Amino acid sequence: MKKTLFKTCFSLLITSILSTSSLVAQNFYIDGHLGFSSPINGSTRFGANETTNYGLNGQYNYEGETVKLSLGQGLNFGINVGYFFNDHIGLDLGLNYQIGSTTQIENTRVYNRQDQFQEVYQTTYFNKNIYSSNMLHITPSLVLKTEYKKFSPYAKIGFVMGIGKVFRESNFNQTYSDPQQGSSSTNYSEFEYSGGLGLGLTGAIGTTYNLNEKLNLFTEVYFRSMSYAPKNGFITKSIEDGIDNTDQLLESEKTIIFSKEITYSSENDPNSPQEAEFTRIPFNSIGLKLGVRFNL
Amino acid sequence: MIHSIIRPLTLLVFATGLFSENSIAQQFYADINMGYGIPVSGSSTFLRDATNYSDQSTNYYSNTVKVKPLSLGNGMNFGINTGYLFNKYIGFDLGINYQIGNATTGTQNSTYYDSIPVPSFGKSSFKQSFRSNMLYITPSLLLQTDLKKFSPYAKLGFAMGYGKIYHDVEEYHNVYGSSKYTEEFYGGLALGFELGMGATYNLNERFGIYAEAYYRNMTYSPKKSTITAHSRNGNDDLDQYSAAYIETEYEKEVTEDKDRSQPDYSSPSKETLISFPYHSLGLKLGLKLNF
Repeated sequence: MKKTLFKTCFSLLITSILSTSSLVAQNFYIDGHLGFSSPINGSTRFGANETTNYGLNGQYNYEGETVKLSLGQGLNFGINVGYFFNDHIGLDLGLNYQIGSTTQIENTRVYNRQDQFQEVYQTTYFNKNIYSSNMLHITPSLVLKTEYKKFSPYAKIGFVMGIGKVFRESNFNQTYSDPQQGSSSTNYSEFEYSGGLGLGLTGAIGTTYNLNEKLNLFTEVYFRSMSYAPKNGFITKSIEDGIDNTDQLLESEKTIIFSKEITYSSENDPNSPQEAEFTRIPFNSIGLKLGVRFNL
Repeated sequence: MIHSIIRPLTLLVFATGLFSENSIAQQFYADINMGYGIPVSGSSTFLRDATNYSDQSTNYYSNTVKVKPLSLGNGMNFGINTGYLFNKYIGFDLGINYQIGNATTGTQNSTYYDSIPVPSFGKSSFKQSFRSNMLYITPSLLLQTDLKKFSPYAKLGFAMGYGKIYHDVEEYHNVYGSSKYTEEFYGGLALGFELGMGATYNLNERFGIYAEAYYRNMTYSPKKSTITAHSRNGNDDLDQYSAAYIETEYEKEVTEDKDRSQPDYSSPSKETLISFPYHSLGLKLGLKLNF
C-alpha cells in the first residue's frame, strides 16, 4: 500500500515536470542557512515530571506535569543545492545539521514511615533523565515557486532522512534517613543510542529577496516530521557512588540491541548484549531559517 | 517560540498574497474529494503482539514480543475544500475532511504450567485495539502553477482535529473467565500540520479533476476518557464500577492531595496527558469547480 502511494505520487510529480511547456529559466543554485526549531507533537511515553509524597496514615500528595518529548529542537545550519526545470518547478537537496537542545524528565517519590517511638523516617527515590540529539538531516524535496519583481515565494515538500545519535543522561539517587532501611546511593549513567536512519517528511514555505541576478536572501518556515528508532544503545559512562565503574560492566549491562521483535528466554546468554523492544523517538519540529542563495 | 515563528509566517503569507502585482485570475473554487491514509511514524508505546510461555517445573520461560506501531490517522476519508486564489499562483485553501479510522490491534497470549503449590495449567489472552473517527479542519497556503492542461500545486498548512478514540479490550482466562470493555477518549483539539502535493487536470474552465498525495503530522491529547461498556462472562456489569474507575480526566498538570484511609471513588480519576499520534500518508482524488 505504501509503495503504491509513493509510486503514484512520484509518477504525478514526474508527469507534471516533464509535461511542462515552458522550459525556460533553468538554473542551479546553492545556499547556506542558519535556523532554529521548536519541538511539536511530542510523545508522552517517556514519562512525566512527577513528585509523589506518601505521608503518614495513608495520606499522599501527587504533582504531575505532562512532558511531550520531541528531539527535533535546537540550532541548525546547512546548505541546499537545487535545480529549476523551468520558472516554477525544481528539485532541492538539503544537508542540515542540528545541535539539539535538551529535555529533562524528573521523578521523585518520598515515603514517610513512623516507628513505635513516633520517630518519622523518610526514604527518597529521585530519578532524572536528560535527553538530547545531534542529527544530520538529508532532505530531497520538490520546489514550487512563483516570481514577483524582487520576491520569489516558494513551497517545498520532500522526504527527510536523519543520521545521528540520541543522548541520555540518567541520575538515580536513593536516600534513607533510617540507616536500618539501607544506605544512600547515587548512580549516574550516560547512554548513546545510534544506528539506523530517522525517516519522515518535511515541508516549507518561504520567500527569496532577490538582491541581484546572482545573489538572494531568503527566509523560510519549515515543518519537519520525523521519527527515529535507534538500532543500538551503549552505556558510555557509569558512576556509582562517585566511582567510575564503566569498564567493569558486563556486555549485557552496557550494550542494547533494539529489535521490532524479540524473545526473552531462560536460555538467553547473559554475556551477550541485551535485546530490547525498538522505540520510536519523535523529531517533529517547526522552525525558521535565514540564508543566502547563489544562482549559478 | 512557536508563536514567534507562526507570526512571521502569517505576515509572509499575506504579504506575498496581497502585494502581488500580478493580481489576475483571482477566483474562488470548491471541491469534493475522497481518499485513503496509511499510518506512518507510529508510536511504539501502545500495542504489542506477544506470546508468553513458562514451565515452573523446568524453570523454562520464553516471551516473544513484537512491537505494533500505532498511528490513528489511517483509514478512508472524504471531504470538501474551498479556496481563493489571490492571483495565478498563490491562494488560501480550507479543507474539511472526515476520517473513518481503521483499528490497529495487539494480542498477548500466555500459557503457563505451575508446579507450586499444586500442579496447575493457565491460559490467558489479552487483546486490545485502537481506532479513531476524526473531523479535520485544514487551513493551508496554496502555491500552484499553470502548465496547459495541468496545474501542479503544493499546499502547506495547519491541521486541527475533532473526534474520538475507541479503545476495545477483551480478556480471557481459562479459570477466571472473560471480560470486555470499551473506553472512549474525547475532548480537546488535535493539532498538527498537513502537506499536500498534487496536480489538477483541467477539463474546462469550470471543472478539473485532481490527485493529491498528502502527509499529516498530528497528535491528539484527549481531555477525558469514559468506559462506555463493560461485561464479564457476557453479562453487563458497568453499573458495578465507580466513577473513579469509569472516568478519567487528563490534564497538563495534576495535583492531588488524598487520604488513602478514606478513599473517594465518587469523582473521576486524574492523570497527566497521553499523546496519541495521527501521522499519515495518503492519496486523495477529487473533482474541482471554479466559480
